[in-house]
Amino acid sequence: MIFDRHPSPIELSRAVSEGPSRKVAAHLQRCATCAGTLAEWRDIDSLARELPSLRTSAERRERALAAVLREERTASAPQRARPTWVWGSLAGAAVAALVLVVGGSLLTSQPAPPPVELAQGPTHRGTIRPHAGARFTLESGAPDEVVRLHEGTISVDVEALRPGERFRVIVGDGEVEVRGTSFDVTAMGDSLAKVLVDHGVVEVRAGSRQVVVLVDGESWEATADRGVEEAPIDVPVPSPKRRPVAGPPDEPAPEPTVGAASPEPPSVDPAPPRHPMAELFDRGWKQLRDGRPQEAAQTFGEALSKYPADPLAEDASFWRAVALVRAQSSKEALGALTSFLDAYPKSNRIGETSALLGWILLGKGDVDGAEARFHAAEADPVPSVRASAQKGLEAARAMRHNQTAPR
Amino acid sequence: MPVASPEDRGEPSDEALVASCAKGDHAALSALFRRHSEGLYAFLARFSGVDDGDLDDLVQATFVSVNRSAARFAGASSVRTWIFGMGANLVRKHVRGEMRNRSMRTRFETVPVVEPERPDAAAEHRQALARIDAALAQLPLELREVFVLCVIEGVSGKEAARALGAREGTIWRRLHEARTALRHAMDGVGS
Repeated sequence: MIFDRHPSPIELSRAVSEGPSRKVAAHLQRCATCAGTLAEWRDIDSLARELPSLRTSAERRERALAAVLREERTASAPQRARPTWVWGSLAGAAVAALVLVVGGSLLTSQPAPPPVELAQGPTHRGTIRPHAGARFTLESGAPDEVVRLHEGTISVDVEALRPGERFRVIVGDGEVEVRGTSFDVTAMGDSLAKVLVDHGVVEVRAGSRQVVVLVDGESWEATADRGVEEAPIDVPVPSPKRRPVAGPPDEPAPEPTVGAASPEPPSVDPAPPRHPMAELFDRGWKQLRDGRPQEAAQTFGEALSKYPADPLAEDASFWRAVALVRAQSSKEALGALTSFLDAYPKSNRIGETSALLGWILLGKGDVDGAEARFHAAEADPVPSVRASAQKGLEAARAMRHNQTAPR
Repeated sequence: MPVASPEDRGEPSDEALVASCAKGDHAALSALFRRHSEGLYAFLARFSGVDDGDLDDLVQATFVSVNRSAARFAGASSVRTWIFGMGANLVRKHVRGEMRNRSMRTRFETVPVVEPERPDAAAEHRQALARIDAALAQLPLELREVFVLCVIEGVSGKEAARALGAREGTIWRRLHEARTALRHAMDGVGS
């Protein structure tokens, strides 16, 4: 039996996807119109199946999984009682004795130190218990709260963060990011040495090593996770040496928080003698933060020419390029970014640098070059860099499209 | 080439993982996530109105829903399709919020079509791909989700109907409309 009518769109559509029924097949044999439509739709389908799929890095997926687990743990776990030492720190007159108000200054804990919270000024979600000998600074408050740990161990308790808020402990060569959790971080020689999670979920990003997600009771130690990382660089002074997963290039560093006035200055480590390279680096960074990128570029350039083999040379090279970008010296910036990529192919700033370079190339109309750079930044572990690369690729596509569109 | 199933590899099946999720087993949720998140990212990335920054949130929200709905999973479709269906539902809400004040129809009619410049087959094929990519991005959401699920992801009409909460006939009708719109876009109709 055959159809004495054309198949309905539903029948034809189903025939394309799941094969024709006997009746439809018979009709198709004698109806060129329906057979043609079927063939066209099959062509459309097979073309669509060739479209490239989004490829995501395992690291990105692990981050998403960590977020899911945090969400579900928060939803299912009973509210954990805050440690008594936190409540103690909030109690009346005792607050004055327990609360240290700090700016960007370095804190050095004494034996048996009290927990540290900021009483006024920016909102802080974390409470810190420094262990004896720990040296750290509170760099900024919510929504992007940053604690800079230079040496020793701190125990951290972070209350539930609000949407969009972050809490990070940054060490010279890595950082630990958490949401609503309690953990210990240890630094040795300004290098991330150990992380121990009491409860919650913590992401450990140590240099160029793979991101590690830790949950309740788990720990991470640098000595057990050497990965492809070379030996930690010994930097003689605490400095803004690396910002492994800091924000986009237009935000060079979290501004140190200036706390409420304190009658007593915080205790500060006796400053070791400063290396001239570190002095130059800090000067350049300050100039950049003060909105003087041209001067900053010159200072970083001076630092590089005088101390090209210094451990800070990589960062000086990167920030010189950033300063030139900000100074809108695109030709020089192009050279500086390219030099950085050539000189430090293993840097954890490769993605950031590639994205910057991509935008400059796009501005010059070099769509192919720009796309190549954006692709190099696509899988960067820093979300803002990935987003910049993605936007860059979209802009490149649009530019290519406009170049080829009929006029 | 035949692909070994999780059971063949001595691993729990998707259904067993969902059952464990229902009992609050986060290790099962992690295993399910690792098995299906890559495909889910690729699936959700095909919806316009979903930018790269939204993707992580949507994938996370999908798996939170998976975990919380695990006890209600009845096995009417494969676990993968069930997860994709949840993702599609979340995209629908997301995109409707994003696009509330825009006219998709107007945008569809103004899709610029790239004219072939080079006669060689490879260039034409690349342009055809670019054109179908652009046209797919401009399809109304309900057509796009059906097309992506059934054609690109290879889900059967029956399963897609269950995952999207629609009748099977509706799925075929939408697929017909999607294919027709794509064919017109490829032919330059309406450009």
